[in-house]
Amino acid sequence: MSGLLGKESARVVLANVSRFFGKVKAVCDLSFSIIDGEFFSLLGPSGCGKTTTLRLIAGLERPDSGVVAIGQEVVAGEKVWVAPEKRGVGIVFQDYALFPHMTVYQNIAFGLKGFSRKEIRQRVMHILAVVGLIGLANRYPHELSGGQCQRVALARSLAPSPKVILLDEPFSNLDADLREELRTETRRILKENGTTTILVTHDQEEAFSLSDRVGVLSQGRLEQIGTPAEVYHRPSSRFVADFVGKADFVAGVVDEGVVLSGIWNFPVNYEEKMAGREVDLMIRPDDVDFVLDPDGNATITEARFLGASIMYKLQLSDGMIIHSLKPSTEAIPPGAKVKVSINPEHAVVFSKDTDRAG
Amino acid sequence: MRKIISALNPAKIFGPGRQNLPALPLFITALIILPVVVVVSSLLSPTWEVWQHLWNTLLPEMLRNTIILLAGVGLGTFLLGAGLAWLVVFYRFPGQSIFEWLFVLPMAVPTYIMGFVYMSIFDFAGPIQSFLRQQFGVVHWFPEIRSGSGAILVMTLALYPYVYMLAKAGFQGLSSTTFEAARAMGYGSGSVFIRIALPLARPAIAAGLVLALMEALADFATVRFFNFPTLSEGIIRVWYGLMDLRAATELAGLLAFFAFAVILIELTLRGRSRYYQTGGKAPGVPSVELTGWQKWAATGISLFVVGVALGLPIFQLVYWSVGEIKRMPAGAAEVYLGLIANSLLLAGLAAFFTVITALILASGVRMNGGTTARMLGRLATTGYAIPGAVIAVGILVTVTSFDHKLGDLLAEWRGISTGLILTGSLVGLIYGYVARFMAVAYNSVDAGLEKITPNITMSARMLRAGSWRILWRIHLPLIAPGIFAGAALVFVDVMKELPITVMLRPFGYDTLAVWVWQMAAESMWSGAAIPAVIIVLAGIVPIIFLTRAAARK
Repeated sequence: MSGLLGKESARVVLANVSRFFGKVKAVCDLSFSIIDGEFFSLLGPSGCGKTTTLRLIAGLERPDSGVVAIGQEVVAGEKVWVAPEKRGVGIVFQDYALFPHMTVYQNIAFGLKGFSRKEIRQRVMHILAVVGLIGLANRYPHELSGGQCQRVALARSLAPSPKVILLDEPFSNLDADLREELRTETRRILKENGTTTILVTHDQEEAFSLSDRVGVLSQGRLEQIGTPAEVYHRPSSRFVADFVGKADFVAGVVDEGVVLSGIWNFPVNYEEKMAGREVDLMIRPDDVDFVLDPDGNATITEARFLGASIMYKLQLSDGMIIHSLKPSTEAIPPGAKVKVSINPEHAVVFSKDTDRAG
Repeated sequence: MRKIISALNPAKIFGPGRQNLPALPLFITALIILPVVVVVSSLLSPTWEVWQHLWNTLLPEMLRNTIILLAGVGLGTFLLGAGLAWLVVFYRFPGQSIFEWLFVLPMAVPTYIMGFVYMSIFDFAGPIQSFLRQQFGVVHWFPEIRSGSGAILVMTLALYPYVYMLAKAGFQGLSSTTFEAARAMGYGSGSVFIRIALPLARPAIAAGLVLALMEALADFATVRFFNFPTLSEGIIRVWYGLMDLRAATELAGLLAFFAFAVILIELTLRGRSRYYQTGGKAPGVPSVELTGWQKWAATGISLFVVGVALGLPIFQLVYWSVGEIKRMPAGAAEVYLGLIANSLLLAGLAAFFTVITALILASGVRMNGGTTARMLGRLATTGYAIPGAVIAVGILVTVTSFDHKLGDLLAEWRGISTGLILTGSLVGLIYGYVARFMAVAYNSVDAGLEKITPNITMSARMLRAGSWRILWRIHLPLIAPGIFAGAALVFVDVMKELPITVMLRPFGYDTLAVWVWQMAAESMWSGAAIPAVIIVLAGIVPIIFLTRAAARK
């Protein structure tokens, strides 16, 4: 498999990249680098600048300032501009943008210039086998299902062996079952090829399940970059904490390495400057557990059945609301009195006056 | 707005933001609307003696007839068009699927051909009245076919397909859940039609009615056969008979005013209502299988309509043509071939120039994408709503004055007298066709351009294709169908076009349509038959083509 696509070292680096549309700062002072062969996701709500970032890497947008480098080569900078077709980058758009007047075969062969007929045939057939569409070579795009179109778009962008492949929300037009299947499939293909991949998505589940690392964007700025687990469990800002999953914030005061908060005291990494400060503690529902107890410190006010798990809404004796996620093997009805326990390991401290984690 | 990008220059995508409106589309639009502007502005500086004279002679009758014609054709095409659409959409009966598209075909028969065929059949000397006289002696009760009612009847038969097609599309676009909801609330199928289907399809029906009314307004030949002079007829008469361009211009201004009024009526009929169908999940209306006498009544009515609007005229034309071919005098074949050559040349040239102009205009508008640009596109396509006589008069006024200036200039410089260069040449005629049929070409070309999304272009770029490769392999193949469809539609429209051709053609330059008109005006029916058959056949081809394309969607 490694013979098909390029072996040369390919990395993507953005340094202080900004792109403005009039007064709108689509991307603002963005810096990050992506490791060779990595599956990287840009995650954020719509309008956060993730698609613009992708287009900056592709060369479909030109940065107003900053440098973009692919491999060892600067492709966009103050006096440097490498056209998109010379960057060796492949792209899959949300709407796939297949050429409607060409067959699957012709679509895939379009990017293969400078090869002999025989070579083109071999490469197209090989890539069709990789994406599992061998029988559909002579179909036209309108004769394909959504999932097949997505595979063709992937195959088309892979055919010229790009060093980097960019995926712009390629799964969002698919049905739920198919989406899951194609995600896994796409990751497998790209990983086997060793292609460096950058995926743009607003779906944190998608980003987490596919990526080696995730970059969370908000309003054109990079909020956090890290492995899915880091981003989920150690969010660097309230925005990230909220965006990547359900989070409750519990108010408290820092005292000698412990956050004192109503009913509980949580041990946290002690920092001198935090002493005596009022803080919020972020707690994820999966770190909250409880047992039935008539003398417990909380009441279940709501239970939402999610299939494999149940999301409980708990009201603590001091009035605070907190959520708990438990397997649905045992269902506890609303109104029950329970005793709540919280795993402090993943709790993150946010100071009251800033949005950043302390 | 980097929404849709030019077909012609992919490099522009990467330019900084919106493109300036190129000068060429601006110039083209100005040139296209110039004739109409000239005519309408003549209303602002009226020549009172001319109006006085017109009022004392032709005008009152022409105005009255025009209004009666519009009202009659409007009512007739609505009843027949919407009624037939209702029948084929909401009911199933023997032959329904065949009738569904047979009902469209009378559109291929221009009003003046439908007119002279009916004239010949029902006139005093025609076979029907002759037969009645043979049987019963002198017949007094037979209605006079050369009348307003005759003209309205014939135009209704030729023009109802516009209403039919749009009403059918309107009905079919309704979602079944709307009907089921109404049925659940206790409405029968009849009241569902009146209270739900008809109001919901109103915008579509209004659009169809406008198309039919525009044709009726533009027609001058049919109303002349039926001795029912309208404004269009008046313009041709004043220009042809009296060579009075001043009076023709004033009348054309009035006619343009009528055209605007019709558009205004449509806008009112549409109102503020924009009917969105939540459908998609439940498209298509439930149709009822007719039984017993009802089903045969439906088939019978359908057969009658197709027979009257299509069968009878086609049969009569073919009958005449066969007779004509059998006893064709020497040299007649050459005359017919000459007519065909002229028509093909004109239609071909018009199609070519209209499509090229439309391509420049549409890609310019899309490249810019702004509100002003879209207005420009809208403006350039208004010609379709303007009666041909108005455009022809406008071009006569413009081109003659241009010719005079050019002639004076050349005379001053070189001392040569050129005469009028453009007036009465093919240039003026093609100009007229381009202005009139821009909308047809524009819409087709634009539909092709729409397929070229920015992502398509960018995908090609990301696959290392250069500008030429993108143009050649991606853009041209994608817009080619639109270009060909637009060219075909303009071609057929020009084949049957009459007012512009009659007024702007070079002296003695006869086409198939002109020949039909002249022969029919002299009651030489069989002499008109062969060219008429060719025009009808040419018109049927794109209809079949278009209904197939629509069915595939």
